[in-house]
Amino acid sequence: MRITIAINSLIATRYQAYTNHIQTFYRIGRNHPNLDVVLVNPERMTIDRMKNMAADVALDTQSDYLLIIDDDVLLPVVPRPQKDWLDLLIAAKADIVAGDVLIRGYPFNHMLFKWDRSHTGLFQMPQVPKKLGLIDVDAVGFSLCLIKTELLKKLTKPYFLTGPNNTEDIYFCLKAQEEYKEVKIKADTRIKCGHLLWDEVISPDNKENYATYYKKQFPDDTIDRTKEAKWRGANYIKVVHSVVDQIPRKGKKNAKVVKIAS
Amino acid sequence: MPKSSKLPVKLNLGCGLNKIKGYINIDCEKSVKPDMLVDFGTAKLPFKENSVDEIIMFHTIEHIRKPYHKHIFAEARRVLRVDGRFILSYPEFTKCVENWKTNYLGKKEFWEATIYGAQRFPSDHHVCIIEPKALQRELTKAGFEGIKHTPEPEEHWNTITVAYKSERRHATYDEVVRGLKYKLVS
Repeated sequence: MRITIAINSLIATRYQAYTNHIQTFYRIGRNHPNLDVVLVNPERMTIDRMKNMAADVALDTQSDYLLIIDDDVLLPVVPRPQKDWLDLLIAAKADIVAGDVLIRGYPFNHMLFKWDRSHTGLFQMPQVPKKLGLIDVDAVGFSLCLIKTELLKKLTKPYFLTGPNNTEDIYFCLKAQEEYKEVKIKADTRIKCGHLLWDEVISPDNKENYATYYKKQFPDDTIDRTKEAKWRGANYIKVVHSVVDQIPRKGKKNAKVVKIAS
Repeated sequence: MPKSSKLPVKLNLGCGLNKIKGYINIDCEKSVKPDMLVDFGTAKLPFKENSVDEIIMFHTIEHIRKPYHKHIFAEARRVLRVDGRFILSYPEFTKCVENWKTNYLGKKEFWEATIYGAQRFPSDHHVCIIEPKALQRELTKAGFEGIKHTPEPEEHWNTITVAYKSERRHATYDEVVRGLKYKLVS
């Protein structure tokens, strides 16, 4: 089996990610002795351009998978004989399968997306099921993501494109759904990754505590919109009535109904 | 003469989490536990004609796709008594866009949420543009009159529109052309 691993280093890799990734590659080599690895690690390249290049490399080298890792993601280190995250991603047997990475911004939702009921927009999943495992999703972030090269062969280029309202990962997932209807997009919530925030790390295990700390530190950034909605229910009706009752209503016209001659 | 003990019937359509005391809170989403579960975008409201005194839709209409508005307004008119009040409040699209463009109060993300919705959960997206003039046209077609718009006191980018059920529904131009028998002359 051959995997192309793509890691984008925009300017410089931070030391936490550097040491974590060194561990990662050591363990990939030790735990998977029969695995061929092609490493794509360009510098100073935009994320979508880098990923398109990595996809071309994966196809040219006839790799079975393209594995994308962001340079600010910390991967879980699992001691043998437990299955490591690469085993779990491959065992998912999905076209696109991601680990569980949190978004680097309050309220730290999971980088996993589902369509809303009217299929007009994707929403970030604020929570995942308590029982960890494989879940079906409609789009994933590509902080840690395994893509089958068979899927790349079915899609048109460019595979990844960053737009004004979308990142390249959402673009790819939506493109896959449009061009290949049977695409399977999954996430394995057992693979809990850390996402670097300045000097700290956010992961599913410390999300609650960090969110509490963040709300105290930055209250303006963390407006509780649910409280806003409750205010609307209680006092809003009084406000609206006070405004509406003051609007003068002109007298109704006396309408006369006339039958048109047929 | 003794006063009538009949209480006014008031509906809160699309209540979501915002239940209002004294109103029958109606929604199509089971999880918000409304007083009545009705998909009012497609189904009939379970009330008789001319039986309701007031209907409110607070920051709801922008969450419902435009093809469903005609049915909602028609049903609202059906159940309201003559001169019954239909109150809608919504973020006025051009004002929200202007605030976003100028980064009013430095809260660009907040203005984005007034345009696209807070998106905290499914159906918390704004799926159509609501502007007072276009809304007035639709309400007039549906058979409402005395339509007035006013900004919310503390959030001027939100607009409150009030409309009253007219005694007779004015025929639309299409209906006249198609050969209806009656038209209104004043």
